[in-house]
Amino acid sequence: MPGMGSYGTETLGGFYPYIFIDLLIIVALTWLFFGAQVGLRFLDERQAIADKATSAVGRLPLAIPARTFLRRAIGIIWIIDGLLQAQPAMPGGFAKDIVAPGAIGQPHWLANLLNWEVYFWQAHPLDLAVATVFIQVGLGVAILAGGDTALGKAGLWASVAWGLFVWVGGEAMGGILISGATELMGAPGAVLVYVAAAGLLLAPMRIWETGHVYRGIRIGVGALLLFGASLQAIPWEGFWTGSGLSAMFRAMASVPQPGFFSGPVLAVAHFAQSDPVLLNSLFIAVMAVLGAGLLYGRAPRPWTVATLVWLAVSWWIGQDFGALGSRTATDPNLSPLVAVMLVCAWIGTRAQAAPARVEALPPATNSMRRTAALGGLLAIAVAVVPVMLGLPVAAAQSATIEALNTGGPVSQVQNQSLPDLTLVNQNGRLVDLAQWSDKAVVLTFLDPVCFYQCPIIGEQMAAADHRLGALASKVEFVAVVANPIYRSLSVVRAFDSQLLLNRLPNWQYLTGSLPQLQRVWSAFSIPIEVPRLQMVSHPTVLYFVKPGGQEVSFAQDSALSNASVITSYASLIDEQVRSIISQ
Amino acid sequence: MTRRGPSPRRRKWALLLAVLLIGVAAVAFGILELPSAPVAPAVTPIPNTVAGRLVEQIETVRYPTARVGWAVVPTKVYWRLVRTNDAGGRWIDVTPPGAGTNGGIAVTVTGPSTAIVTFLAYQYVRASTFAITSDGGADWTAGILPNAVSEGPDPMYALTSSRLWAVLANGEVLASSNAGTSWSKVPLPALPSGSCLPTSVWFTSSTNGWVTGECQGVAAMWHSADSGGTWQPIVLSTSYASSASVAIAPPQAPASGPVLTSAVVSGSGPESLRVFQQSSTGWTSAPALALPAGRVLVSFTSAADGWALVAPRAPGALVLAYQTSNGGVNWSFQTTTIPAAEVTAFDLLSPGDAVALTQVGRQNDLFVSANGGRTWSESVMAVSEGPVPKVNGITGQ
Repeated sequence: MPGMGSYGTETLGGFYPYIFIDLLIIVALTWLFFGAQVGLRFLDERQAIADKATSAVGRLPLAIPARTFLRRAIGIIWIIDGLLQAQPAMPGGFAKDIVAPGAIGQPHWLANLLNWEVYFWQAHPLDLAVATVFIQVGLGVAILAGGDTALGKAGLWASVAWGLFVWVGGEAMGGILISGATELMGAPGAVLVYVAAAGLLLAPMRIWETGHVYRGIRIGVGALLLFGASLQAIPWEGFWTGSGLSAMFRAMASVPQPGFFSGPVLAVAHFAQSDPVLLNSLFIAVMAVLGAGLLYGRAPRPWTVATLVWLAVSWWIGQDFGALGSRTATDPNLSPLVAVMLVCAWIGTRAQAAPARVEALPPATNSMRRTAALGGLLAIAVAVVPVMLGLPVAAAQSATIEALNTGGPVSQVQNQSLPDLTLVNQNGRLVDLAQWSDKAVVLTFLDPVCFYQCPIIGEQMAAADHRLGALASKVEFVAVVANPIYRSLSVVRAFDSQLLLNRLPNWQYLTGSLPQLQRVWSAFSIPIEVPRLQMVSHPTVLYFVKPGGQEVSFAQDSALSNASVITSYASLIDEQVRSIISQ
Repeated sequence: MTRRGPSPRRRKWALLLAVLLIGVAAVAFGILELPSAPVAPAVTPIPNTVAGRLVEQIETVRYPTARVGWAVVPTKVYWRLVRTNDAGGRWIDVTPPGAGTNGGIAVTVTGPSTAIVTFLAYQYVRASTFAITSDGGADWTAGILPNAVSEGPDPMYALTSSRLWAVLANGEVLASSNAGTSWSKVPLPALPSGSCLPTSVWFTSSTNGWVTGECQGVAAMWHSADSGGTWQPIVLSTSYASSASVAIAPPQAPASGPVLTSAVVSGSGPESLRVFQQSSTGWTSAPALALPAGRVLVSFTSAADGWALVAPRAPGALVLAYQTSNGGVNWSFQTTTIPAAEVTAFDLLSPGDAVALTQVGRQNDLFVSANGGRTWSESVMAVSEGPVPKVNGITGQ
């Protein structure tokens, strides 16, 4: 069965050609921009003015070795992350294997957010996988090549923004909101360190010159370790029991890898199983002592060395080297990033002790580097623009939010009578539209086994019901089955149950015999197709009916409008119903 | 002396920070509601990738007879079920229309003309749909499960066209006697090894049913000798470390000899394969066969004769072909090359004849060996559309 089990690990066709085509576009755009020189000339002038200004006050910018190290390290790691996103399994596996499991157990709002992300990724796996590759490689290139120019700073700001996005959308906030989060395995999330590093590189130069930044890094890492020790000590998190503590190590050991790597992890798992209290106490003690040492220790060197050793150990036994061999690894995990920060502080502290090592900044960045930096930013733009504009904006052209303002696909109908509609509801009762003549009615057609738009629209109807509050008692939400194959009561009830629509007193999901349904579809001009390889297709329509049974407005969505449907149908329904009721 | 207040720049940042914090707090405490989505069901973790290997092994290509074969092949983001009745000369698309999903399909082939297809649910869709055929895929009868189906090798089994069995992702085993119109839960006796996750259901005869799964790293089975009326637990002495993962194939009753099953175990170090056979005293285990890492594909034509292919997950690499003629007690092996292809599935037609399904990019090919795996000849899968199958009497387009 090459089904779910293998879908997540197989390459979706066209992934690499897609990357290649985007790469060509980026190179072409870069050279176009470079040839035109418009932006670059402007930047040159700005740079010249800045250089002149700094020269005038006798403070030529200095290349601080620690800062250079941090910039290069973060740039390289972003590129590595981008390349990891180019693994063959990513288009099919990222949402399913990385994001979806992260949603389990999360607070409702975060779970919703992550589920949306899963939905979008599943709907556009190639687009989003390619976009992620180019965003992350672009960030790395822009940071590495851009230096302290406007291009480099733009890369750092983009790094902060993307990092925060990834922290929430990719790392589920490092798992800190759910039970079982532990610094050993990477909480509160590696990408926060990217954000912190970019923030430091954007910070005023004086904090580097005075050395405050190095002390700050040690304090930050110390606080992180104390946070980790606190998480590890929480009694109800299960780290004090054999099965709880060993579970995470067993999970790490089960990832396919050479026995040399998994052997020590297995040994720790066995030890955790047999003596969890001792081992967990040891973890807590090590993290607490190292954290306190970095925070309060007078001599930073031994604490830094000891912490680096601990980070190496935790990267192995707790983070399994970032699971880099798992085919859906996204980054090296927390420990290497923290180590980079500590090494940065180390280099900085040493350089302060020997100021002669501070070198002047090389002459203004050459055209090759500027071109590379520009290419990096263009890569981000090429990746982000289609995602930001192509999906939601193109979708919104045909739907809802704009529709509310412009009239768009929401057509006002002058009290048109609806065709007769008598079918069986989810409770097996024969119902008729006319029986809700004292209410407003929102009518739609939904496929009960559709996995794409229909569950979303059903759920959005429930959300609209919630938004309406007390007014919900004045509206009936009615859906008609739009599937000639799957139309039984059990199918309808399964749909209601999975979306919790069965909890709504004003929800009706109607079905009937095939001839009955075909008559309704025909009367409402709803074309239903049974394609050979895909689910049943049908249009997404909404009829708004005022009390008395007269249709007053009608909304139809196009095939491109999935994104806007998701984000705005509840508000569309809410607005329309309020409008109808107030008439 | 006048005291200077914060600079405008600091005030701006403070204001931005305050707005951000208020926004986050509003969302966190439910004051500001983000657009809501269908909430992901709590899916019980499925045994790991090892199950995937057996999954690929058992169902991707299957020849119930020498001439009739079924295979599942990808087409862009959808999966097709194809069938041949001329030993691979021509493959016809028999995918039941109208319910396709790029989540995948699970196909259990129970005979030359009978199969059951389960459409695997998206992560956030709880109910899985299925379709059964008894005429080689021309006509299908569709139904729905009350929840997402298991990702095990054989999550559904059709004992007859109306007597169906299913294992859900949460480990529940369901039975239906009316072609899936209604389902009842089948209670399975507990196993001493603790929390168990059934993943597959299979019948080796009209009376002998098997549910296979895993109990915290230990292979587990339940057997029914009365057509699923009552079930007895069976603990296979896999005796692997608790950290290892085990995936067990549904038991088979080859044409000759007793029922046998196989288990692939992965953990640290090399993977291993162990064959179990039912005897008068219970289940006996052959010694474990240590295998290098790779996709393990196992097929037996009798209780004695079987092959295990270890196929690296890279095109064109050497494939290790292990062969046994005494039920897995002894294995011989040879290296063989299936050119420019990644082997994804395999079925043994006779002790010397094998067919391997391969993928080159997204193009599927079959390679056939008639000399015990020493050489392989290519047989391009020519898939033709054929007449569109009917589902519940409705023709697709």
